[in-house]
Amino acid sequence: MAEEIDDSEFYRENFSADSDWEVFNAQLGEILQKWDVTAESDVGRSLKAEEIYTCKWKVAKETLNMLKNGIQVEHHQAILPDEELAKEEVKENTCLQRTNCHHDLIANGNSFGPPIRSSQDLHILARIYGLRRFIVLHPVNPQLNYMKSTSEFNFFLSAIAVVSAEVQSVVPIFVQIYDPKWNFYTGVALAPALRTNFRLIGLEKAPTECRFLMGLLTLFREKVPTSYPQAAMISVCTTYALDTMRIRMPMYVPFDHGLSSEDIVVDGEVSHLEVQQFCPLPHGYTPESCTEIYLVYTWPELSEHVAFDSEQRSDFVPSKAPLGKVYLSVEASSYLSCCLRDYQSVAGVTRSLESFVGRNFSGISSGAEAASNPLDRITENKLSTRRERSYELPSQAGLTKRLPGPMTESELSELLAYLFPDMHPEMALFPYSKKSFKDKFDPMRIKSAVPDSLVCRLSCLLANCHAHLGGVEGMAQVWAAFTRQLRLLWDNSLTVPGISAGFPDTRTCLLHQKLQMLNVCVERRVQREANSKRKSEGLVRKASSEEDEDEDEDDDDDEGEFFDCDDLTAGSGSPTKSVLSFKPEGRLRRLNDERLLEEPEEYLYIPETQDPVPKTEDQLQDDAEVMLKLGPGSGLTTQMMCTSLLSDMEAFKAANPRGAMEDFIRWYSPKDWEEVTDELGQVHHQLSVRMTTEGNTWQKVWEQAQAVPISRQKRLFDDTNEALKVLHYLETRKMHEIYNLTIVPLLHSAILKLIDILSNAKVEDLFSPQIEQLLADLCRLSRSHSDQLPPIKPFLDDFAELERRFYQFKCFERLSGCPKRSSLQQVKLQFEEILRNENCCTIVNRRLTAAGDGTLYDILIPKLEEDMADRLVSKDYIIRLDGDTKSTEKGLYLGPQFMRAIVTGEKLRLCGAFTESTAFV
Amino acid sequence: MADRAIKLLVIGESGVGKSSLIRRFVENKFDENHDVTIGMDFKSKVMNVDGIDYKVALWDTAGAERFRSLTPSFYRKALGAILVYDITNRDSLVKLEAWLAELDSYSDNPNIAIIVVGNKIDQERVVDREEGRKFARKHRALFIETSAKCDQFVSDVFKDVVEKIVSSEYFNNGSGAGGLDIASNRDLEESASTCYC
Repeated sequence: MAEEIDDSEFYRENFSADSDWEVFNAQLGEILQKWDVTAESDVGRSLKAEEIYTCKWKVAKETLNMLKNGIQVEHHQAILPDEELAKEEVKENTCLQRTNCHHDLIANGNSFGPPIRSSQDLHILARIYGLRRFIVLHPVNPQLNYMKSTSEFNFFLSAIAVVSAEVQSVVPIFVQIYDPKWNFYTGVALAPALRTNFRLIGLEKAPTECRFLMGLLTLFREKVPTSYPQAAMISVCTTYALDTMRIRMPMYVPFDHGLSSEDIVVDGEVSHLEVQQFCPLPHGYTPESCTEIYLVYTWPELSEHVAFDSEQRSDFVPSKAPLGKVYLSVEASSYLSCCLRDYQSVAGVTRSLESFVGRNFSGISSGAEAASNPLDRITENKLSTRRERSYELPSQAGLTKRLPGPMTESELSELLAYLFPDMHPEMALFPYSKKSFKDKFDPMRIKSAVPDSLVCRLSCLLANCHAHLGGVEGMAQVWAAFTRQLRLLWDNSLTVPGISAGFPDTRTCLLHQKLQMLNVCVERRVQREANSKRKSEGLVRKASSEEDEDEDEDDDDDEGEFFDCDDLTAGSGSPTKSVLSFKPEGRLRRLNDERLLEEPEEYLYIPETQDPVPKTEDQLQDDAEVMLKLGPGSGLTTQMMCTSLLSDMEAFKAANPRGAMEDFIRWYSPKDWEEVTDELGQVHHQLSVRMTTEGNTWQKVWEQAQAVPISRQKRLFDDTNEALKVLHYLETRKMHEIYNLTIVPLLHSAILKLIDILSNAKVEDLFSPQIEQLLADLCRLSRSHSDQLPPIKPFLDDFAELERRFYQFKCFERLSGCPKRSSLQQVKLQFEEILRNENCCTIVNRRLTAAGDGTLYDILIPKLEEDMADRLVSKDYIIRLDGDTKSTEKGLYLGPQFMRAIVTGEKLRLCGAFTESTAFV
Repeated sequence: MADRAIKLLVIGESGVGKSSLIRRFVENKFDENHDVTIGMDFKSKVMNVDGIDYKVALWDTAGAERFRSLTPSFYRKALGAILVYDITNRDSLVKLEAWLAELDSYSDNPNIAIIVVGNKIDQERVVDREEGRKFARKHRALFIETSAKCDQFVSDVFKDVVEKIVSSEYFNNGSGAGGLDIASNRDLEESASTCYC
């Protein structure tokens, strides 16, 4: 950079002659300044043991252009949870010459990470040097033939050194060299008057002496630039691999009689999963499932003079290790999780049901009214629909018409026998338990249905069919068969089994509400028909004395008792008068001993009223939307709400022909029958102001109301119409809509099945936090406010993780020799540590106990010592030397010296970080 | 967010002044002779909180026994509930327990924001403010006393509950836990000073 300052203060600069190197340095310096790499940012507490392996990392990336090659600069920094606090404390202590880099190199808490790479991949440099913060440069494109020659390395290394000095960086900066797969780095870290050089190399076939501590120490001494009086400290870690453990838990697919089922021959030891309650979901683990087991022994810190380790003799054998751990790495996938995962794909299938099973699959349009669309049936004139309805089994043609699909008739009827046990008593194995449907409500408040209800059974069956019995086609076939059965039930006035009684409960899922609605319709219809039959019989008896009536005709005409009120009142000119002459009808019971106000001789009767109208949540939503559309304050909303008030008033008038509106209010809204004391101190009652206001709605409706007992009122709830609506709704769902209706009960049942498996293995307590989390997550999913189901993938991941953990437990249980050599209690206790502690569990800790503290140690040591040499995976040596200020004459800090050697068979990787003083250079 | 709509329920015994509160708030009117609500009614108003407009839908429910079976159907998707009692009628406060239980079992929102309102402070008091406060604290709800007739603190009811809703985690991410607290009750108590007229 040519810089000149003119006498006339005319400032000019000329960069045109800058070399590539200078341009690169300028760019790099800018980035480093942005990341604030100076000593001021370099404060913080010391790392806790194994912290860098467990904490989260922040990675920032920038790309630089260098001779048309992209160079990526990455900034890695550990996010330490309570660092902010520490920063405050350390602020005053900045006179200390050590940087974080120095601390990290010397501290032995993060020497050895777990032998299994955890899911979040930690950068190898953090693993090797235990650094909390560093910067790496490497070519963007790893295929590029770049960073291969010494001149290129030097280009970058010198750039780093110069820029570091310029921006006063204390953060180590590395350049990745050669093939990225080799993980070779070279780097530098500066500190006031100190420079640490990092070098990483690897040897395919290392000299024998370099594979043991003694040879490595010699190497280390040669590399250390100045002489240190004190002894180097050694940390060693040896890793042994035990045989991979496989427990075969074969696939079980309910209702599958093919080869893929349980009876498939598997070699090796087989352990079947046991369940108490049948649930039509598959279980078992794929044959690839296995557990890799590593034993790791560590000597956290020794002086170089204490230990001996050469080819002939070594102190670093498992029996002498102060610290031993077992690591379990598990690869396991379960058929249950797979089945649930697969089912997700149905969410994207927008094909209609008809496109799978053909039109008119429901069997309604057989015979006379062929080709009529279900919608027509519903919108058809009610009377004609009734006439055609037959109470016999629907024509055989409709029912026996085979549903197209991958399943055979007999397979399908087995599934139907499971869903509707009462209709197929000869095949039914699983009747619905009677007591579980008595308004029992899930305490976890998942918007699903009662466990093992029809809804749950169907949902599981669909997922099972989707995964194993014919895919989407099989699923469509089952759904179509299901709706066909529902129609059969309705046509025979039978209730749907395995559904909670009562009105549609909006706390349950929509599918359950729909089926509840269907049952309400069936009940109303049966009741209505029984009533009308009783009445018509009574009529007939009366009539038969006068004239001979055909009884059959009365039976057929079961709608005869219901008239539209409009018809009735159309002719009557002045209803009030005529009403008075009517004899009371439709009385339910007396209201205490209250008497009519105007006729003190007569009691006040509560009339029989029409039952409230049941609605499913989608209908409620439609209602609410209508109200929203009508807008606030429009009289229409009130009118919508008045139908039931009118019906009640009419029934009241019929029951109390001489009743006044005051009487009605006394029963209906007692709050508005107010007690008042007049001037004379007399207590009497009167209607509240709001009820007596001229032209209020209540008065209007009262005037409008005729004396009509409910038996002659227009039904507020048309059960036939509503039932057909439900059937039509279910028959016209598209595949993704079927998925939406069933996913929550499916996931709910899957959790229950998993709980069943866990409790049968007596480990439910071990996993109860995870189970509770799953239930709570599902609760939230099922009650989501948006109309779209939120993504369920996170839930399924957690579910699969729990299943994987269970497999891990089974392996660990066998490893521990349970139940012969250890108790389940003990195994669980140790497994808790595995769950908590990144798949690892301590088997020996001589700092805490004199000898091995458990059976696991006793079991594993002999296994290992049989062929120790073969099982040794790697040895990891770290040699550290810290230049203490007190130990040198001038009180100078010499900085840390560090060397790590990883011996894997004949291979050797050497990683050095040697510090030199720059004070007198 | 496509439509910042907030659904609020107003529940409580018959004659405590639910419709009057809404009427006062939305239309700034009071009418002694207002119709007794039949079934459900609904009004809406746009409210501005921290510079953002929210469309607040107020669902007025009938207090009368006979309509009880109808009301739970409208609890779905409500983000807040305004529980009203009449300070001249102890029974109306006692009955709030039952309303709350119903709300609890039918609401699909575990984090529903609740405010307890003692109405009719323009009339002679029968229920101590302390009783209302206790009830609110017990159920981790907000609490305020109002007069729909004299227009005292009516808008605060709606403002408080809407602020509570929009500030909650639940509203912003559509998920998340965290209950409601009554920390703000103290402030409310200061502001809602009794004033007879």
